[in-house]
Amino acid sequence: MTETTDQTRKTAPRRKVGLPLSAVFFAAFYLVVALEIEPHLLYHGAGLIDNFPVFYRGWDFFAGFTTYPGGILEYLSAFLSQLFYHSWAGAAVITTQAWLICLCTGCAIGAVGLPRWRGLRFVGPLLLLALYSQYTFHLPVTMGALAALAALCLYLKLAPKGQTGAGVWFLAFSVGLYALAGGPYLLFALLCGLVEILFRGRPRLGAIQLALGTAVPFGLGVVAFGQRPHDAYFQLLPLSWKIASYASSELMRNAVWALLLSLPSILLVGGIGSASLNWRRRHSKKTKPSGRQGWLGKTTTKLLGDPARSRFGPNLGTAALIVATAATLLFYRDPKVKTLFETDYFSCHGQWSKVIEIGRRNPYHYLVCHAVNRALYREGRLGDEMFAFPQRPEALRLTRQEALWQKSDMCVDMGLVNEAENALMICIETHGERPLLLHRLARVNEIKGNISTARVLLGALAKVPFWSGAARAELARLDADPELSQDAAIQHWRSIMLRQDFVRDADTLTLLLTENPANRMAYEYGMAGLLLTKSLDQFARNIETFRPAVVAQDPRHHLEALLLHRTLKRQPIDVPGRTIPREAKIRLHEFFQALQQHGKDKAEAAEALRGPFGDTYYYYYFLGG
Amino acid sequence: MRKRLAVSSLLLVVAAGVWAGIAGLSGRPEAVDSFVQIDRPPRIEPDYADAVIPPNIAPLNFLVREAGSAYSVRIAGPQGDPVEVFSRKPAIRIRPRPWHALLEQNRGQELQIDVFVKAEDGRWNRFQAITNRVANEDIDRFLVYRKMHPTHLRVKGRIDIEVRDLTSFRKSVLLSSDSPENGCINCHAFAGNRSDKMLLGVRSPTYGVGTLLVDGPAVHQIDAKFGYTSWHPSGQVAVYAVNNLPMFYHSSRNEVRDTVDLDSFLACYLSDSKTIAVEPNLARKEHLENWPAWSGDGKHLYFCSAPMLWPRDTPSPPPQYDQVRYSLMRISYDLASDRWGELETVLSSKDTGKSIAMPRCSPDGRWLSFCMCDYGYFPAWQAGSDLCLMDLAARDTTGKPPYRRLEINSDVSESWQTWSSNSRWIVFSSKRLHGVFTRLFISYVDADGTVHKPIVLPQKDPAFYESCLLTFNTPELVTDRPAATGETLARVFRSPKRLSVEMPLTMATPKAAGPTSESAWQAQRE
Repeated sequence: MTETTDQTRKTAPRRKVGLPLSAVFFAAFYLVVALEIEPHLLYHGAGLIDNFPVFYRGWDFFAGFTTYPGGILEYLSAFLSQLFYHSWAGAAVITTQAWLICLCTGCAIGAVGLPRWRGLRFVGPLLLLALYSQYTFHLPVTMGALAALAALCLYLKLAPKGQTGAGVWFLAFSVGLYALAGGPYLLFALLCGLVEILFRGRPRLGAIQLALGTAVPFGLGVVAFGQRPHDAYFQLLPLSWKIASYASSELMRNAVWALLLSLPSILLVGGIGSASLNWRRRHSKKTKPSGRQGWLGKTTTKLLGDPARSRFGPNLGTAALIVATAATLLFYRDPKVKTLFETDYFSCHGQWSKVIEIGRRNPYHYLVCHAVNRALYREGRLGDEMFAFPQRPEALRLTRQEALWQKSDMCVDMGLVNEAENALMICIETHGERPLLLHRLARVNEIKGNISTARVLLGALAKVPFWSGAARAELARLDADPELSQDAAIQHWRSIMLRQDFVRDADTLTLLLTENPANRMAYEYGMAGLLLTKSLDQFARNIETFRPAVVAQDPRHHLEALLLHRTLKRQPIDVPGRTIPREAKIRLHEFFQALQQHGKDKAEAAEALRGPFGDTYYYYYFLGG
Repeated sequence: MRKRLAVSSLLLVVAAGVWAGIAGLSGRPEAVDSFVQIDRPPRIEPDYADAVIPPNIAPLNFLVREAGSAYSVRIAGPQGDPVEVFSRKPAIRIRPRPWHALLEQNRGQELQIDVFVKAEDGRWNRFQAITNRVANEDIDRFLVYRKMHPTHLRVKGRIDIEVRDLTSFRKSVLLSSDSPENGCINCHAFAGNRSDKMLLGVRSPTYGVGTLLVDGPAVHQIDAKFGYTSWHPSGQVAVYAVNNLPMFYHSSRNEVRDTVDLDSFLACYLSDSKTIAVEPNLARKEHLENWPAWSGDGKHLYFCSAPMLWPRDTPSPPPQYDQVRYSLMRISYDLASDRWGELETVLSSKDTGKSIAMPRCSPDGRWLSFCMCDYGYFPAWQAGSDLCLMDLAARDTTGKPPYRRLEINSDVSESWQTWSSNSRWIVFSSKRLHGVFTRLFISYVDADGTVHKPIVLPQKDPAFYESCLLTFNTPELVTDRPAATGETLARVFRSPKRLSVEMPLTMATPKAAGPTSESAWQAQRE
């Protein structure tokens, strides 16, 4: 009895233990996407993603997608991408997509008789991880790839065995898939053709499928839908001019191609490998035992383990997947880009302390520096702490390069409402009708008293998922108080709005201050700008002219600059009503002493004095900027 | 298994029945047996009251802006069966067939709209009736217009030239900016109100700059950039403006955008010889010429002209940009001999103190409509722009230009007017409803030149405009649906085959003439 049991143990397949490898992988995948990548940052866009789709509720919006092949998939992608609003939901979308790609790839690889290659089903999910780690948005294209893979699986599972039946099924799938997904249908036709030619030994059917693959877009897209050939073939593929016209679609385009072509490559290599094996078998004098693995099979089995044992545990498959995932994250995770997204997100949501914290942790970056200065101003610390952060003059008002997305909020706060409107309208042209932009533009129009325009913008916003509540509340507020006379924020913005009209470059900050000396932001930014450009004469003049009467104590950097100016000009340090605190004088004295110790070696001085004096204006004036 | 199937089927049938019952009950009209009379008209949007409406217009669907749990609307005229609409929601959608029958039977008569609103307490309120008059004359069946985002500097968003069947809500795209790969599609110009002859400028970063010429069934591309264009009624000559129109911004004016015609002249495209000619009087070196418009009989070309106040190569905007005021000019033309006559000033800016733009002649030759604004050539970006009407017949008899500002003007910009082929309807763009988002309005012009209260272009969804972020401009009324549309036009534009037209060597103001592919990214003027 005991003997029999032992024998059974030996012959029966080893019992699978532990969680399935894919379950562990996708649980980890979800956590990485939700907690590390944070899809809500992609939804926010930060002015860095220009291809994030617009979505509105309602039949009219949907109807626009039904007029061309691939429209339905585009609509679905636009809908799913709205879920990125919440990181947990966006991560669920990405993870589900990755899982389905994995499932379909595994299914296809299994169905063509390459079960030992099933470990390669994780290539697609890893490429997705790479795409999102780089903060690029390619959801419509990757959805197209998924649709093609899913159709292939259905074809492999459901199509009749006979050639005619399979051909008819293929045709039916072709029509359905092309109408639904557009260009990615080409991938489906290619995969079917490869399977039939390389694995099922039906080269004629395969050739017909490949030929139909090129004919269907023409017949349906060009003839039936009246599309131009380019659009009929390449809709939702990286070759599409529409996709290429978005600057952010350029990023990681190779990874998108890799995702699209990974399964065809696997089939091609596997098919050729199998064919060569069969050829060798036929021409070999010795008959090899059936079921013997080729070199490719052996290698992959060694590398990725037996699919029958694809369980999470101490095996080579698990190790390979962990290494591949770690390598993907190592190579593609981009904290610098994430910092830019986070900075803008926190800025737009008024989370100033987080913006300042980012500034403290990171070296100089044009956009981060701008956001930090704005955060410092909002916290009332600009004049006291701005030189504790890396500074350059152009970042204060974004004068070096166009950064319209970031510019509009600053302009509104300063009273340059038209400039903000202009920036927002151009952003809508380049980034689409993003809800954040519509919301901002509605506010700009409310400030300007263009209530009817604001209402239209809010009306559109009310159709956007996750924004409708706020938009409806705003519309109700406009119903109750059409002039927004009870809205303190709007009244404030109106009070500081620039009144003088001109069409050429002008010193807007001075004009703002002349019109309204209580415009605190114009004052602080104006003075900060003079500090950054080291224009101490002008600074000294302006502080006399524009210094708000209500300011009890000049901010630290203003005092430092004033002291420095008087010292350099050999003027009396203290004048009646504008004395410099003793601590500032001592600090300047100490700074000069320390500076003298380093002679003319500016680099050495900068390095040595950064610690004790790096947060002073003296340091910026002599050693920074 | 069979039992399970039977139960499932039964459940499905029951669910369908319940759903149908709910749907049926909720939509079933309620009889309004008694009501309380409210002594004011109901608030409805769009404002379809006290207007004259085309007898062939699509149903004027509207929203009732009165709180209630049910709405009943009765539309009736002296003739025919009334149209009744019942709705649980404030959106009133009128069935097209009875609507058209009612309008047809009531040409020249008044149409009364009774609105009943069921209050929270269950009783019905009846508001004062809304009255509109149905005109005798049809409006041309098709309206071709451009639909786009309000643009600031550069265009990337989609632009559609759309064809709207005014008798229904059917729309089709004549050409989209997608076809030339994010190109800009400029003003379209038809010969008369016929769609068989059309010019359409296209600029594309990929395919360059060209002008599409639809000539009957054929479509060609002319290797030249046509600006604002007007066809001679014969369809043999098209006069177009060649301009240099940079855009700039105002720091605090309500309308941020502005533009100036730095340098311009008018050129003539001769359809038969496929040549371009320049008449010296239309290309004077020290003048700006713009906005050509042929008279209904084709004997005169009207256009706008202003002295150029700055030397060439002045950076934009020149300091005098807001002092340029265009006068209305005309020049006679003899088609048979292709001869131009003498220049005449029809209405001088010195007399008006304003700038004249966008003149359009009624096809019957009686009226000339135009925009008058404070300065410059582009009224759509000036709040003070008003529509004016000049009686050309009276001018010819008295020698004075009798014109008047129309009563239908609002306190914001009116622009881009066009006439119907029977000279009884104008369609124009206005910002009166939604500010920067320009909408199209239809007005009736009666025999003595009275222009009646306009109605906004009706839409199937009465709330359409409340969330529409697009601006509608460049309306053109045509009697037939354009034959060549979409890919047919786009294919011609993308093809390298172009009609090479001969440009005269003695261009008066060559600086304005050069079309470049870079200019594909210039802003579109709304």
